[in-house]
Amino acid sequence: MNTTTRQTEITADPDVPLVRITREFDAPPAAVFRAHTDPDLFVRWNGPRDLETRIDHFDCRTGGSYRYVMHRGDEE
Amino acid sequence: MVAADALSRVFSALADPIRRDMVARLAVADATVNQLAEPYDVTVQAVSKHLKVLEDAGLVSRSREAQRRPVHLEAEVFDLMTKWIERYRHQAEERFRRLDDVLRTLPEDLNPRPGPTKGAPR
Repeated sequence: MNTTTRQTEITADPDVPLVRITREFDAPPAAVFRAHTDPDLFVRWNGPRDLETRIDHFDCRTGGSYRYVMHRGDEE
Repeated sequence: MVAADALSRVFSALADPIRRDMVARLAVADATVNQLAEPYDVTVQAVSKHLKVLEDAGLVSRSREAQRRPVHLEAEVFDLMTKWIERYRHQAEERFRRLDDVLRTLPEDLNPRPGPTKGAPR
């Protein structure tokens, strides 16, 4: 599998104080969106490799909120 | 933590628009202090101060021999910053490769919205 064409890119916006992370996926937009909005899918890929994501609540809608805790064993 | 100190000096040296502009111009060619000072509405002394900061951070050097003492950009110092940023890029890439794996398990004709939300908002 060739992944070199869609490696993560990080760019700093020259006008706004933000850092933009860009990455393409070989999947339809609906699937990528779902992987961000479905908490059961989200915990499977979020966070650094050595930390697990434990979701407190995940209310994915406009004006909604979310809270999750990263943990490694008992360490939070 | 010598490496971290060097990195802090480089970042703080570049946390100034005039110094970043000087670096951008020195990336094109070496220049004397007077040449560097020309486009700015500040004194040559002020430019010298800026240069001192860049020099202390290792970003520029000035030859001792030549009478004009042109300022030279030590571009390899940017590797320090690139390596620092690259670590975070690598972490993001790792995360997105896990997302690749998740995406492969999903059906093609998926509804973008999941079912009921989990838990109650505070």
